Amino acid sequence: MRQIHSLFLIIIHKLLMYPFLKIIIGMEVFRNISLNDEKYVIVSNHSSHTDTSAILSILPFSKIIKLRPIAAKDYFTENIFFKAFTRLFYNAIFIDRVTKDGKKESVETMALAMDQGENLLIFPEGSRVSDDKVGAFKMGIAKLLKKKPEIPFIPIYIESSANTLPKGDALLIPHNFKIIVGDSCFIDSNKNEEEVLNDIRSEVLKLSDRIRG
Amino acid sequence: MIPFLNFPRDISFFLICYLSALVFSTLVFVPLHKFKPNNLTKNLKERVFSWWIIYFCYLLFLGINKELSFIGFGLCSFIAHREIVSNLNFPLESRRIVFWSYLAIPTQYYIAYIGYFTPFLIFLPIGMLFLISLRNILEDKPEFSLKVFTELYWSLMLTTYTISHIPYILNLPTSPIERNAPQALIFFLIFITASNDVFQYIAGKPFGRKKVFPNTSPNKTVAGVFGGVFGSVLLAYFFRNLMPLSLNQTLLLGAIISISGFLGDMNISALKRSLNVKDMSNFIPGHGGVLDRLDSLCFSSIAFFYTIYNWIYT
Repeated sequence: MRQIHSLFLIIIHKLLMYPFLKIIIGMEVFRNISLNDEKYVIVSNHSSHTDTSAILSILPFSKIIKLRPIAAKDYFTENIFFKAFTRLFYNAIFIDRVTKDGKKESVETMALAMDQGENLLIFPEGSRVSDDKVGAFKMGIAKLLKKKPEIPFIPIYIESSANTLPKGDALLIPHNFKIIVGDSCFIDSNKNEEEVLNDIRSEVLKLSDRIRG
Repeated sequence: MIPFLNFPRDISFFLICYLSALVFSTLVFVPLHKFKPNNLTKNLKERVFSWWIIYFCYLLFLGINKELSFIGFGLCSFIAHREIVSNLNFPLESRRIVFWSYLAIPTQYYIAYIGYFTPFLIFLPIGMLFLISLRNILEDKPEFSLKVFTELYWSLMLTTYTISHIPYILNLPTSPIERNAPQALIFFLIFITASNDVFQYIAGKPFGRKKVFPNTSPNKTVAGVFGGVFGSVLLAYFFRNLMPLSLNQTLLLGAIISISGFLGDMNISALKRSLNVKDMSNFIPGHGGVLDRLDSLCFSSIAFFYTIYNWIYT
C-alpha cells in the first residue's frame, strides 16, 4: 500500500506538478534539497498553498513519501473531501493549532512521526502570511527540535508565492516565484527555547537576504 | 537529411551545420570546465547546454507540424509576458485583470492558427484595449487604473503581438512562393537574429571602443553594430537560395533584421535598466529569462514580416 502511495505521489509531484510549476506558474529553484541528510525537518515561510507543492516537487524521488507536511486540523479537516485530498495528495499529518493544553500533544504527535522514520515539513508561522515578510514563528518547532537535537533542520525561503494564490482567493494565476534552500544545520541544545526559535528564524531570514543581494 | 522531421532539404543542411557547431563547442567547453573550474567556464558550459535546449526546441516546434509551432511560440510569448508582469509588482487587487491579459495570449495564437488575418491584426491592439478597460471597470478599484492599462497593454503588445507574427508566416498563402518557403522564411529570421548577437560580440570585443548607448547598454559598441550588420548580410548571402526573393532583397532583409534586432535588444535593456534587474528571470540556466533571448526577435519579427509581406503579397 505504501509503495503504491509512493508511486502515486512521485507521479503527481515529480511528473505533473514539477513541470507545471516550472513552466506555467514560473517557479525558480535556486538550489535543490541536498541528498546528504537521512533525517531532517524542513522549515519554511508560508504565504500560499503553492508552497507545499513547490517543496514536495523539488525533493529527490526517494524522499517524497517520507516527507510529511504538518497541517492544521481545524482548517484542513473542515470537510471530508478536503481532508481526504490533503491526506492522499500531500500525505499530511494533522495537528491541533488551537492553544489550550493541546500544544504539548501536537509536539508529541510530531515527535512520534519522527520516531517512525518520517521527515517533517513545518511552516512555523502557523498560517499563510499575506505580505512578503517572514512572520513570527510559533513555539512548536523549537520544542520539537529541543526534544531531538540530533536531527538537523533545513531552512527554505520562498519569495512572492503569495501572488500565485494568495490567502482568501481561489484563482491561481501564473507569477514567477523564487524558492531557495539553505544548508542543513543543528540547534544549539544549551540554549533555551526562545533562543532556538530565534536561531531558526534567522536562518530563514538569511536566505531572503541572499535572494535580494 | 533529418528523416523524422519535415524540414525541407536545404534547411536540413544548415541545421546540421549548426548541430556540428554545437557539438564542437560542447567538446571544447565541457573539458575546459573540467580542467579550469571557474565562473567564466561554468557560465560558458551552461550557455552551451542552453543552446542545446534551444536547438532541440527549434526542431520540436518547427519540424513536426503546424499545431506544435503555434503552441511553442505561444509558450514563449506567455513566459515572456509572465516575466514582465512578475517584475512589475502588480497589487493583489488587480490580479484578475492580469489573469485576463494571460487569457489574451491563447486567444491571439488561436486566431493566428486559424489564419484570420484581420482579427489577428486587431485583436490585441484594439480588442485588448477595450477588454482590459472593461475588466478594470468591473473590478471597481480605480486607483491602479493607469498602471494596469499601460503596463499590461504594452507587455502584451511587446511579447505576444510581435512573436505571434512568426508562426503566422506558416499561414501565409503559398501560391506566390514555393511550397517550402514558409519554413525557410522562419529559419532565415530566427538564425540571422540569433547570429547577429554573436557577430556583435565578436566584432565588438577587439575593435569596439565608442559605445552606442552607454547608459542603456554598456557592452554594445559602434564597431559591434556594424560588425553585426556585416555578418548578417554575409549570412543572408549564404542563405540566398532558401529565400523566394531576389539577391538584393535578401541582402537588404539581412541588414533590416540586424538593425531592428539591435533596437529590440536595446529596448529590453532599457526596460531592465529601469526595473534595476540583471535578467528577467532564471528560466534558462546561464542565459536568464526567455525575454532575454527573445529581445531581438520582438522587433525583428515585425520588421521582417511586413517587409516580406510588402514584397511578396502586394
